[in-house]
Order: sequence, then structure tokens, then C-alpha cells
Amino acid sequence: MNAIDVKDLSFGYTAEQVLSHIDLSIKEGEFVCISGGNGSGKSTLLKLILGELKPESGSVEIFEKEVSKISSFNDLGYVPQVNVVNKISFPVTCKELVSLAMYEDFGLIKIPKKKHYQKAIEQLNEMGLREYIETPFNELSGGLQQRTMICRAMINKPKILILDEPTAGVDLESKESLFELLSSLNKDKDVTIVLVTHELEAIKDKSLITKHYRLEEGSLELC
Amino acid sequence: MLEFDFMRRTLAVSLMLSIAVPLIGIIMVNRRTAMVGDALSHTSLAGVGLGLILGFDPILGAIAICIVAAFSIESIRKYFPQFGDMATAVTMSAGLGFAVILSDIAPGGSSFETYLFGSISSVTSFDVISTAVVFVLVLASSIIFYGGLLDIVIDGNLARLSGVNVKLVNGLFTLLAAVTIALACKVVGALLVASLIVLPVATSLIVSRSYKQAFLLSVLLGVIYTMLGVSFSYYFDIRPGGAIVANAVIGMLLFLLFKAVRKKLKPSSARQIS
Ligand SMILES: Nc1ncnc2c1ncn2[C@@H]1O[C@H](COP(=O)(O)OP(=O)(O)OP(=O)(O)O)[C@@H](O)[C@H]1O
Ligand SMILES: [Mg+2]
Repeated sequence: MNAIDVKDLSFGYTAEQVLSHIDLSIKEGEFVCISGGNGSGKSTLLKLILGELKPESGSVEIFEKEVSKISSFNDLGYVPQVNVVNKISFPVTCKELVSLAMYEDFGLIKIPKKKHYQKAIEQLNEMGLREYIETPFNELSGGLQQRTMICRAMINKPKILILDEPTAGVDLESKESLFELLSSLNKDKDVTIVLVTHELEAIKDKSLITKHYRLEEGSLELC
Repeated sequence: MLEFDFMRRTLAVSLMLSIAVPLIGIIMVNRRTAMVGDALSHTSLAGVGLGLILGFDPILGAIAICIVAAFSIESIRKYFPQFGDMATAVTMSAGLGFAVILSDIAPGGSSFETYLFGSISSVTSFDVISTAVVFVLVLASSIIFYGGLLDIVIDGNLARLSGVNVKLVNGLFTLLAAVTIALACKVVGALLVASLIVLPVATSLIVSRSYKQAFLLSVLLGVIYTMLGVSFSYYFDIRPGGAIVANAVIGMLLFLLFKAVRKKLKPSSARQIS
């Protein structure tokens, strides 16, 4: 079964098209990288896949279901581009941030319960963030913030993980450990990975990458 | 002061508002739209003017105008994010402009002043009942949608993916914020409602180390500032809005001082993780 199916997708914020006639299918268990220059539409493509934006024409399916008809996205983890998350200027701890992803499980009163915090703590431990469980997110470095966001994205054990430039502004060491984390998720837990990045060179074991696309002038090309 | 009926009404309304307004405030401040509160409270004055001229309770006018203004600002913020700030300013100017014109036509200039600066002597039984209804709704929504509201502030798209009904939660919040702010104008005064929205939250954000802490502390500070302010207003015959804000500013300075001292004494506790 295909994890993601994009068919003949076109989109523009204004009259000018950002994406035109994009086709992309990603099978379960694949590790797909998408690169492209600034403003080429990488984030836009991800937002269309996630159903945040509506396509002008064409379709997006996740596990063979039209994205606009999906009622629960728990199969899908998303890590937004860091400048999106950076704007958190108020204190919210990593534990709080991660537990929010279990919203659908909160019950009638949408406050994280003890078991959700417990699960968040376990996940943070597992991802090497033990020290930062009670730390306000806005006090973390960029790399640790990314790690926390990946932790949040993974909390429901999604089958697909979509990441938008998770290594922007992260030092080389953290970059490598981030990619190691992604490869182990892909290899050991069979998570399908869609990674937007400029920094393929930091991925040591390139054999993991099943496909590499470049987005240029609105169209997607296999490299 | 409890021996007077009017003071009992005022204290009841103040207590409920001092809890409801920071609950609205923590969302508005964290998503960086605190000025929307200012715009709404000023715009509500146009509703007060309409009420005075057409002969219905000015508070109803204030509520109606506030709701219209709140949803206009929200939709402009949504569809033209780059103009969000300007929409707030334009709405505020338009509302205030109308209010000034209406205040010239309206009979009974002193009622106008009540809404401008706030008053402890003009709270009616109807105000108590309407505030109680809104208070219960705000409190219930803040608890029921605690996680959803927080997640939307963090990132609307992530919130939607986690299963938050973003449209519903946003709509409910906008509606309740508008009504709460309109009601608060009577005691706190339209000119100063924004201070009650911002100051308890700002103070709590200075010292809090988690959202839960910030949430609870904002409410606690709102209650302390407001109840002290209203009491001062009664005993020293000053306007409640001014007294509340003065308390809040002093409180904020004390917290800043506290934080500075704590940092000096225990430099490691405030270390920045980089
Ligand atoms: N909300 C928006 N409204 C209007 N235009 C937008 C909006 N978001 C993006 N654009 C435009 O769409 C194009 C693609 O943007 P997008 O963010 O998808 O690029 P990107 O490939 O992710 O770039 P980057 O590498 O900088 O993250 C750009 O020209 C951008 O200016
Ligand atoms: Mg991008």
C-alpha cells in the first residue's frame, strides 16, 4: 500500500503557481528526501500533503484516503520548519508540549492526564531528553527543540513522519545524531520518512535513502 | 464595605471578572494579540453610546459591538496575516471615533464616563447575572479546552493534526473574549481593560516555569490585583480601574525584583540552556 499518493497536484497562493502538476508516491517504509532552493515550495508541498492547504487541482491521499476526509491524523507525525515553532515565547515545558499530541485521548475534558504526562516522559527519555523534561521549550537550543518536536511527532507511534528542515540552524554533531535517530526510526520501527532538507551530506549512511527528489520551478524531479 | 448592596454586587462581579479576564488574557498574550483586547474594549464604547441614545442597556450595546469587532479582527488576521496588526488598529480607531461622536449626541454624559474609567457604584443586578453566565462559560471552556487552546497558540496546524477542532475552539474563544471584555468595561473602565488582560499574565510569565504554572498564577494574580483594587477604590474613593492597574504594576515590579534577587543568590537556577 502507498503511504502517500500525490496526483497531478497544482497550487499557488496567488495567481502565480508555486507547484504545478506534481506527482509523488511514497511506499510504506520508504525514506524520501526532498530538497530545493529557498522558496521553491517545499513547505507548501508538505502543507498540501497534510491537508493544511487545499490543492487547486489534483489530489492527495494518505493510505489511500483523501486527505480532506481524514478524521484522525494519529498515523502521521509532522515536524514543522523551526521558525514556526521558534515563536513560542512563553513557558511551556517539553513534557507539556509533547503530551498535547495525545489530545484525542484526553477524554471529554481536554487536559493532559497523568498517564499522558507519563507517556510523554517515557518518550522524552527514550529520545535522550531526560534532562529537559521540565525545561521550558523556549529555553532549549535549536537542536534540542527539534528533538522535542520529533518526540512530539512520534508520541502516537505514527506510520509516517514528515519533517520540514529539521536540521536548519543545528550544529553538525546534533545534525548527525538527528539523522541517526531518523534512520533508526525508519529501519527498526518501519516508519516511513519524508524529509525536506538542504543537508543531505550530513547523512552518513546514504543507502537508507530510497528516493531523493529536487523541487525546482514548480516541478519535482527524481535525482 | 460588605454592608452595602452595591458593593456586594461590585465585589461579586469583580471576583468573577478577575478570574475570567486573565483566562482570556493568557491566550491573547501568548499568541501575541494582546492589543486586540485594547481594541475591543475601546470599540465597545460605541455600543455604550448606541445604548444610551436608543434607550437600551448600554452593556448590551457594548457586547454586540465587541462581538462584531472581535470576529472582524479575527477574520482579517486569518485571511491577511500581514495586516493583522493594522486591522486591530483600524478597528480600534473606527470604534473609538464612533464612540466620540455618539457620546456627543448621547444623553447623560456621566454614564459614558462610567464605561470609560470604570466605577464601583453602578453595577446592577442584571450585570451580576450576565457576568455570572459569562464567567461560568469562560471558566468551563478554559478548562474543557485547556489543551486545545494551548496547542492552537503553539501552532494551529499541529493542533489540527492532533485532533483539535481549531475552528470551533477559536470561534468560541473569540466570542467569549468579546463578551468578557465588554462586561469588564463597566467596573475596570474601557481605557484600562487591556491592562487587566495583560498585566497578570505578563507577571506570571516572568516567573513561571511551565504553562500550568503560568495559567494558575495569572488567575491568582488577577484576583489579588482586582479585589485589592476594588477595596482601595472603596476606601480611598479612587476609580477602581486605576487602583487595579496600579496594583498590577507594583506587583509586576515586585516579581521582577524577586526574579533578579533569586538570580543573584542562585545563579544556577536561572541558567540558560544553550
Ligand atoms: N502564506 C503565504 N502566502 C503567500 N505566499 C506564500 C505563503 N507561503 C509561502 N509563499 C510563497 O510560496 C513560495 C514557496 O514557499 P515555501 O515556504 O513553500 O518554500 P520553501 O521551499 O519551503 O522555502 P524555504 O527553503 O525557505 O523553507 C515562496 O515564493 C513563498 O514566497
Ligand atoms: Mg520551507
